[in-house]
Amino acid sequence: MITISHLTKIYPGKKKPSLDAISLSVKKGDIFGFLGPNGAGKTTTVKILMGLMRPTKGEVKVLDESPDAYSIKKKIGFLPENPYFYQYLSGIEFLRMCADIFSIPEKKKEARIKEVLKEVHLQEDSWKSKIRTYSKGMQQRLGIAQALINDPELVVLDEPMSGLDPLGRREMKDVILRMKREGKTVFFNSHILADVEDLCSRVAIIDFGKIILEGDVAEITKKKSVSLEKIFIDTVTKNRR
Amino acid sequence: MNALISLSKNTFREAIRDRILSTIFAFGFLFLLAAPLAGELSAGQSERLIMNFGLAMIHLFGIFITIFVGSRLISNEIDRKTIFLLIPKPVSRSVIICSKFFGLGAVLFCTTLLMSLVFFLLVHPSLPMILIIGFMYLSFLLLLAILLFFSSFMSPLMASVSGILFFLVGNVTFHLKALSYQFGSLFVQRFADIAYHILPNFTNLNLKNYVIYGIPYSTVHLLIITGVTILSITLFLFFATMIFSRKEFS
Repeated sequence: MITISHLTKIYPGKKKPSLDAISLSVKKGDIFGFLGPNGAGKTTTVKILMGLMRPTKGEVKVLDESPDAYSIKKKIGFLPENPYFYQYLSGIEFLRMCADIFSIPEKKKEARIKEVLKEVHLQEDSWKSKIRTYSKGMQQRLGIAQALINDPELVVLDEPMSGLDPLGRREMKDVILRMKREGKTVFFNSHILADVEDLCSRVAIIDFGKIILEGDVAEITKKKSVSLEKIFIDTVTKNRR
Repeated sequence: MNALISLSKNTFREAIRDRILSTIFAFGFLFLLAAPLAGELSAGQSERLIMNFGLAMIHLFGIFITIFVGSRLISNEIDRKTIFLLIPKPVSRSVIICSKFFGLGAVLFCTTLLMSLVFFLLVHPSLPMILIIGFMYLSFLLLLAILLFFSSFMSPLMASVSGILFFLVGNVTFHLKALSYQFGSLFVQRFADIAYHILPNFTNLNLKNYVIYGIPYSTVHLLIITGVTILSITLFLFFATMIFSRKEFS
């Protein structure tokens, strides 16, 4: 589903690469956790995967195509970090716009919008309210709803738990677990390692633009007999010595 | 096509909620309503003065709306980070640029129509008047395409300045060419020739002089001007798309 080979990104005017020849692959049906401290290169990687930025070197394939390929975009759902919306639209108007972009037929459109809004537990009385009146948690739920509107094969989520209260996190985890049951592929960044451990089949840890650990969550935690959080802290600390 | 219509509608909604648009439009309306006062100041030429003043207000405030709203359309999308939700969706960057053009183009159509309706309450409507306003609208669209081109790689302020300069130069190239043939050296004549042919020509779109001074114009002439303007708009949007397609969003 995702193949990253020797991906390097150097921002204009900077000498040090933000991503330094990283390689990883995500298979169909994987729930892949991409972990790392702040500024490690997680969001840069996600932006390259989504065609928002381009690699300096290396190659990225999403659904066997370039991230810019129009053909794959109907099969992808994306939640950016702290999503921003058109504040003068209501939640339902925004999702109608997204449904139009995905060419969802008129007959199915309204039903699909209601389905995803219910799935992310956005309160029904707020659907027609302007997005500018939404709390951060509500905006995050709307962001997830727009990522699911096209029933994607691959979902890329940048900090999906951000801004959600414990109940919201639980509901978000349920959404990801449902996608896992449906055989969808999910690639997500998160700082909340307990959630990653619960959800992910595979993880990679990135620090200073380099992958320092990659593998199967069950295998990694079983081998070291400690939690993923402990493994993360130990691995990053060791890398920085 | 669905995406283009949906995003154009979104640009329309965004623009009509823009406070800058409502402020400029309100002032335009007030100035237009003040046209009879200007007529009072003239001696025996009141109808011509009201007509000139009214047309000038429709033109001026249309240009203001185009510049102040048009130059921020792309940067708003980037600065407010809503572009992060659009690029990963099945919508090409050319559609994003075109949706800005059609969305604000529709807003300009509505504002020009409303101001024209008020104008025609003050002045008896006629076909030449409607043609003048129609070609004014074409000049707004041409300026909008120029602004979208500049704002695909410049800040809103720089895009506005560049757009205004293009508009001003586009209004004088015809006169510069005529002057250069009267007084200039061969080099100046060639330079004025090149500028006249390459830069968008806003003088052609100003039909006021034809009507006011009774200069004859033919349907073929108007069709050629329309065709050249549509071609210029297409070229500016094409180059805006080319530049925008290379843009990264960090």
